[in-house]
Amino acid sequence: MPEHLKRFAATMLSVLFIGIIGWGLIVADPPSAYGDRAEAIGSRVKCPVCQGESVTSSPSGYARDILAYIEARVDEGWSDEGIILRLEERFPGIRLDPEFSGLTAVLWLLPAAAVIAGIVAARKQIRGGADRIEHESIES
Amino acid sequence: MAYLGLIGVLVAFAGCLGLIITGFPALIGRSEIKWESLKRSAALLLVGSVVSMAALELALLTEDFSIAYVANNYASGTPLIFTIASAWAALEGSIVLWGLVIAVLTYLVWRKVNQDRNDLLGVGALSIIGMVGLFFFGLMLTVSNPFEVCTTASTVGCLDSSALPWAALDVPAGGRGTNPLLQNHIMMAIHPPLLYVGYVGLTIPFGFAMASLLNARSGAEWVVRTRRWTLTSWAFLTAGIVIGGWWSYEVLGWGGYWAWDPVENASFIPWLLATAFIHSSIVQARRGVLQSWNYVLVIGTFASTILGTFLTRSGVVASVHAFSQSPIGPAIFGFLILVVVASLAVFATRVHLVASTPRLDSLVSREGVFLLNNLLLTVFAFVVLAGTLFPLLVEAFQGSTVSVGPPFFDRWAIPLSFALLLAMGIGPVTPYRVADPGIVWNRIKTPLTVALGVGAATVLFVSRIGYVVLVPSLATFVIAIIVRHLWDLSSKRAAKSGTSIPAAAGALVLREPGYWGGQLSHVGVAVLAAGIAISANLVIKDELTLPLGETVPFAGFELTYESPFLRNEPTRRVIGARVEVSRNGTFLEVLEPRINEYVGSLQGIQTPAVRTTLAGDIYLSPTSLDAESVSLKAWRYPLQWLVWAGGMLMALGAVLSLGEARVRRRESAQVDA
Repeated sequence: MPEHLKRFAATMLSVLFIGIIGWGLIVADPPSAYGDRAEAIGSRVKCPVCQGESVTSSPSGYARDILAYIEARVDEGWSDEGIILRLEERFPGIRLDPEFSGLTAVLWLLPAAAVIAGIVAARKQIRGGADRIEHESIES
Repeated sequence: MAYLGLIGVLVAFAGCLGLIITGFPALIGRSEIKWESLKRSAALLLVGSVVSMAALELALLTEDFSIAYVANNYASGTPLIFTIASAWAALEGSIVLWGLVIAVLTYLVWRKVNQDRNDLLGVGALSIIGMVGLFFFGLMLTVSNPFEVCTTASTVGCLDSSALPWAALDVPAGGRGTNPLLQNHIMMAIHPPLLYVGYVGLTIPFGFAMASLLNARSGAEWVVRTRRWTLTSWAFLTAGIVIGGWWSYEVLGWGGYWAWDPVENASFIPWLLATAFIHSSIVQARRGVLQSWNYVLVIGTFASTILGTFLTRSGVVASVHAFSQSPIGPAIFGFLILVVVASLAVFATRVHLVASTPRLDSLVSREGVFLLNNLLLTVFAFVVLAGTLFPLLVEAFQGSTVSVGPPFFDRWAIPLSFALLLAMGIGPVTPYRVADPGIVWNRIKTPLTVALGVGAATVLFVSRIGYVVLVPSLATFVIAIIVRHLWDLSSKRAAKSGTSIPAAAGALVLREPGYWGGQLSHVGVAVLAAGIAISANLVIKDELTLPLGETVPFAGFELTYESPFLRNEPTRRVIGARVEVSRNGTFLEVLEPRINEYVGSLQGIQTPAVRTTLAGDIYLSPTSLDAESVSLKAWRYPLQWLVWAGGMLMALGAVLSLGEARVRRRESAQVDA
């Protein structure tokens, strides 16, 4: 096959693949991991008697009870946030994904600040036109 | 035995002092080194630490309950392997192992220090490493003494103890036993030593960096000389983290391997920074840039290992208030502050003497991608650090509790990992200096088509979950670029030399083990990422109750509760269920999820049973169990083995890269001659 035909075929193939992937992502399946809404909510709150485990992941009886409570609220038609807020009243600090407010805003902003500081520092590593020649010797 | 152990610690402590004093002139620019004394100090450190470790092991093996550590962390009848591992299963003993590792590494560094060349950099580094060693052996002599003797015994274990080996003994009749969770799996014997070698090994690049700042040795010598140490530490750290995840998966029964808990994060932060350093040190060695940045990175990496020790060893993680219950917390915290302040002060006052500031020509170059890699890894480390410390700081200063868990970490880790994978794909085939986009495009276009093909096939035949489509495609992209590059180079070489392509590829890899080892690690990262995305998103889980003799369907399999069983072992009682796994009526395997009840422990440990095949794992964790029925949490993880295989490939890649240091050394030896 001539080179230009090959290239054309490869491009067409890639376009086809991209089309399929794009379609797949648009009609996306929900992730199976937390198909269950109660478990999804449970994964966002900490098991109060465990160390660093969520309610969903902990095997402890206490976590099971909280999960059962969440399931009951889900069945009653509560919203995700409503359930978590109710749990937070009972167990302050239970939320594993602190919401963006006051103190926790600091936590969310710190990494963003680090990204910006990093980009600024990285830009400084690029030489300007003037010292382009000056340091040419390092190449040897 | 207490005498022997303490003598060992004292000898090692003296060895550290000797290293500091003998090496000190090198740090202040004097060149008269007492080489004999240096040799004696390194030997004292090694002998002392071996003696102290041996004394602790002997005390455990001979069941010497007069030693409080043995009485509180060991029970008669513990299997041999866990008896040996008991030496590092608890705080005081783990520091003895730490001391042994640093002593062995110091000895190896000393052997490479060249007297004929008046190697002041090496001697200075030994002095710095001696200071770190002095701290840890100092801990053993004071707040974390593993050889305290029991002065008030309880029926099992020891209530009160004394640091003085001649104190009046009150020997308990039996011991409390090792932490049951740690005794539950063989990995526990292996995981901590691997991590320690990784952690402690990072002291060596730190020592060389500080010495190069203090004696104003400019250039990349410290980077080149410590490369094999960094790579070795990284390989151990990687293997340690992966095996830790595996242990968590096999033992803890919650169905996962990584939970972003502070102890895991404590090992991940140094790993991220060490990874960044491995990459940026290549740029310094090759192109002379990023000199100051490498000092900052290596200080950060070392400080994060001390921070990790602090987080895991002070009890601060459970609660800020647990921190002051044992004096070891404040001691390590103080050392951490000292390390950070002192090393940054040295850096700030001395860096202008050693680092010039050559810059990059263009961001579109290998250096540019390395810079991107460093930015991403450092931000990643910073995110993990911030998320880990935030709850502690809030509790300490505000008194309120805030939790930061997987949702926070995932939100940052996922985009950062995507960007890292992309950089990893393109970086290694991007030329140095100024890259011609045409060359890069030529090297990636076929892999890109292959990756898109994998993505399209996944959409059509497997799943349309975003991560399951995108991550394996990206992983394919990374791997295909590496394979294509190797194929391209080796087919050219084969054509030139008339050998076969595989032979040419082998020769190529052996000639540049540093580069190809790195690529093997990249393949490992890609495999790991694909494994995480697939197993986490295509998992099937369920809670099942199986009445005796009945069959319940699960994820295309059938599970049958065959029979309960009970085994009495010397240190534990095992209550379990035999669950038959079959598929379409064909018997496959009997799994035994069980509850282990250890002597001296009130709560039983729910221990999962896992069936692993190439297609994936079936993971059964018992929640309750009796003769009539068993309740299980069941998971089906497709392709779970990719996670472990990826991790192991990463470590293997680093081992292969070690060959590069040998090639380099041979080259530099030839230059010197």
